Amino acid sequence: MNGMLIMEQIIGQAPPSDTSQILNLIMVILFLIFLVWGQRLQASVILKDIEYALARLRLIRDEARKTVIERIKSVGKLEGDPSKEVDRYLEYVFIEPVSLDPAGLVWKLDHLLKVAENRARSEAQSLIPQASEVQRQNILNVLEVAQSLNMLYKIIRHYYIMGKKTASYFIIIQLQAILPEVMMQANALLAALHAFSYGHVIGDGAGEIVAARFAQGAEGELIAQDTVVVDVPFNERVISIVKSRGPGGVVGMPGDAVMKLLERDRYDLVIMVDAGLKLEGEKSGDIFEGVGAAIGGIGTEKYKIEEAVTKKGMPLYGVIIKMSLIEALSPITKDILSGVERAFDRVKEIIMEKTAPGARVLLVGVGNTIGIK
Amino acid sequence: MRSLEENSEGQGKRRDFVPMLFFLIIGILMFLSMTLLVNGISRWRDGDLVSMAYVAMGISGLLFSAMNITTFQNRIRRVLVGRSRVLTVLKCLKCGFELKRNFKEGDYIYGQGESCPSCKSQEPLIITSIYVEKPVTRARLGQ
Repeated sequence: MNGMLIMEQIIGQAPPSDTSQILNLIMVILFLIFLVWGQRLQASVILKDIEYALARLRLIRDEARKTVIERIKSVGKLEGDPSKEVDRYLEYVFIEPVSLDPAGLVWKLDHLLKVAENRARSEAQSLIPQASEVQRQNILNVLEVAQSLNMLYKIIRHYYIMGKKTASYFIIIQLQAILPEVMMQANALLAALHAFSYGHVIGDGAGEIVAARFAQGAEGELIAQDTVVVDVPFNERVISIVKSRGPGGVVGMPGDAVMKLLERDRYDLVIMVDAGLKLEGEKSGDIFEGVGAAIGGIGTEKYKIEEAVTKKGMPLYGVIIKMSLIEALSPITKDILSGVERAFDRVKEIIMEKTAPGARVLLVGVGNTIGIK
Repeated sequence: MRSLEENSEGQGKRRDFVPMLFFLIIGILMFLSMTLLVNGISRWRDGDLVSMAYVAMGISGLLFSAMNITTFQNRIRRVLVGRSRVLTVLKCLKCGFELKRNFKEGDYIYGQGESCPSCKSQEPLIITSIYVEKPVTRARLGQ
């Protein structure tokens, strides 16, 4: 009864009383508060969300650092503490070349990437000299994961502090907008930590498994840094398989290998097999194919392959195995393995469809070859 | 920003202090809310506005406390860690025997495994596949 009376007083159908006047006053005050400080209140709620995500990022980053240190100690049989060296490595930055004059930029980038790679290797060599090459390569992968997480954390922290300092609503909402993707990336990198530490085959190695299925574990000839080529006969044709030299975690230099091989020998067809990111709603392990260089990364290897193939006027096909980012960086699943089988069969079909007996085919397996010979 | 400053000596103490303060405030709030709720319900028969307000405030206070505790729990570091069962599949090239076992460090596809328990041949089993049986599971971290 009283409740009805209050409602009537609020909506103005009953004579005003002390209660309704107090309620009206509260509503007016609340309205004014939200009118003046509404955006600021909203910004502080968003900042709390970002702070929470940042705390998780820091935790993931710390876990990665701890894993690297423990792994280095166990693999390198170290007695001392490698924390100082690890921290120094985590702070390394790659300074991209100037792009004001884009001519020749790819080669500069390629050179700097090789320098960075060699530097990382020599650091790993001096840090864990007792470890085998495969163990060193895997440790380098773990270090790279920790470095990426460190960078991710620092960038998000930078924008968070800037948003807080400047109280800029637009910086804050932009940060909030990208946060789900950043956390997805961080979780994917975290999943990669365990896989790289123990040498598990990861989803990104799907293209390498297809190439390895053709090569059947053959040693092959070293054609470029960490990259081998194996010639195998196939239905009156010859397939030259280019893949990274496993079982350590390397991606090799497929671009250099393709350039050298196309200069050296005559080929009728180039096929590339790689793992690719699926769109949300798509099934992991499905394959799709197309025309062009199926290779990700910074773009230098893709450029080299496209250049070499264009120069020779050769057909270039790509077969891609779909997976999510987290699947690409964590131990390979059954779904992706079935995709590998389908890609293997599809490559055989393409070779039979597109080439005549006596042809030479260049098959390039792209990806991280950790756990695959 | 305070919580983001790293490697400072006071930070550890502050981190310990913050949850204590949080739970103290939440505890006081829950106690007050419960008192209000009980008072509100006991006076409900009179049907006056004050008892209604007590009940409403008590319920709001309890909901607010529960919400904050849940948020705090989530903040206590639950992150996804790769703890999954990885299997290695080995095959004997002579008799076709297939063995599935847990992954051992050093296993790799087209690598060699143990000798074949079926045909007892000298040739080792060949690793044909390595895959994860169950996807990544949630595990608690940082506690």
